[in-house]
Amino acid sequence: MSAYIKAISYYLPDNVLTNEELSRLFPEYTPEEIFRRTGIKERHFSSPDEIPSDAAVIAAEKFFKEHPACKKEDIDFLIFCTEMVDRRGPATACILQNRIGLPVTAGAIDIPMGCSGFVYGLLVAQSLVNSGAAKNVLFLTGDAATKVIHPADHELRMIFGDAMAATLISNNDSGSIGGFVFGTDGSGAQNLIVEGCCGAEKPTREWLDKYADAGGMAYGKLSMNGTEILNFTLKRVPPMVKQLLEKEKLALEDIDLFIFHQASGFMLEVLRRKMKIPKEKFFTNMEYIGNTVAATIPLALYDALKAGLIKKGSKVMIAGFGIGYSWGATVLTF
Amino acid sequence: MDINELIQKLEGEFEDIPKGALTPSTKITDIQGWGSMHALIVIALMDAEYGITVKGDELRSVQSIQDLFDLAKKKQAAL
Repeated sequence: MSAYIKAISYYLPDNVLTNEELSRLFPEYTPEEIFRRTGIKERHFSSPDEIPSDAAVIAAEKFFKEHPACKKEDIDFLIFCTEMVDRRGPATACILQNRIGLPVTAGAIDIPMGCSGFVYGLLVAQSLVNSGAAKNVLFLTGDAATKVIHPADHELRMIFGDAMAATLISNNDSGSIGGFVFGTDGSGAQNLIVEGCCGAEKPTREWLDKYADAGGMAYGKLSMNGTEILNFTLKRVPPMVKQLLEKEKLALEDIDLFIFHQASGFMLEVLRRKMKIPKEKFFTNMEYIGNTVAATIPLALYDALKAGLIKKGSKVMIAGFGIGYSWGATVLTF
Repeated sequence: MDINELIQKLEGEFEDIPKGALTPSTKITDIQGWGSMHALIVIALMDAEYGITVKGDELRSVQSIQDLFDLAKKKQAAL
């Protein structure tokens, strides 16, 4: 028996930001140029009063409706992965246990990680199941990056969207979650960071006044050094893939589908070319979604499953990488 | 490593500019439509074609395509 992904659902907020709208806001870019730069046509964004925990409740409800064989009463562990938790305390996962209506016998923890969050959460879920500590782990993953992007920051607005995924990790004899490789380099923290929030940079009156036109940026403000993020990715992701293949005793050709964190169309294509992964084995689904941080991989898994690209026995490599710097990958067998 | 080859590769990557538009003395910030995306394209090209890492601030200190070529050559020699 081993841990495997039993089912996935996801939720996208109804509000959509199109390239046409972005082009109206930033006339120096045409809609076509924005698509060429990013590989994205639309991104979804949450309403001002909807935070990731609200999205998590919706995603969980959607999950149990879409997969009636999976029951709330069978969930014995909840993991909530987001960088935008409700409060300093209690853990948002505890609040979610009650809001979703999960058994009081379930464990519940937050994992406040970004682009690599799905892989790290999956590692924890796998460990819980394989150790026998839990049988059915509900893993809610997502973020609301649009809330920490300044309205005038066209680069970030072109890339990021909001989403929430619900994944159930259970036990069975056929599918599996394989070994993991991962790494961390906090020396790159400044290159992708939310400024002006939490313990290290408490929001001040000056901050709120400075960004008054943008609603105060009370959640903090995301800043990205694009060239350094690209260099980080080029440096870390190909060796991670190689290391994982060696660990799992697999060749590149043995992988049926590669699903990487959907960072941007440009970055994914650069990585694909560098690693010589055939186009037909390299899944992307960001055209009408954008980069949804910790949600990109489960969203892509769901869409690839729906499209029939993942069959029984398929080997799928997933790789998350970004803010931290933090990276991780594993091979899923379906 | 040959500067004409680098120019050809740059012209191949930048979709908006006609062939023959770039010369060794072209200032990179004068390239039609130059912006943050072009910087990413140059960094990716340097990695893919020459196996070298060019940092954002190094690229910002480069004036002409000749300077970029000299930087790439220096970095390649240090590999």
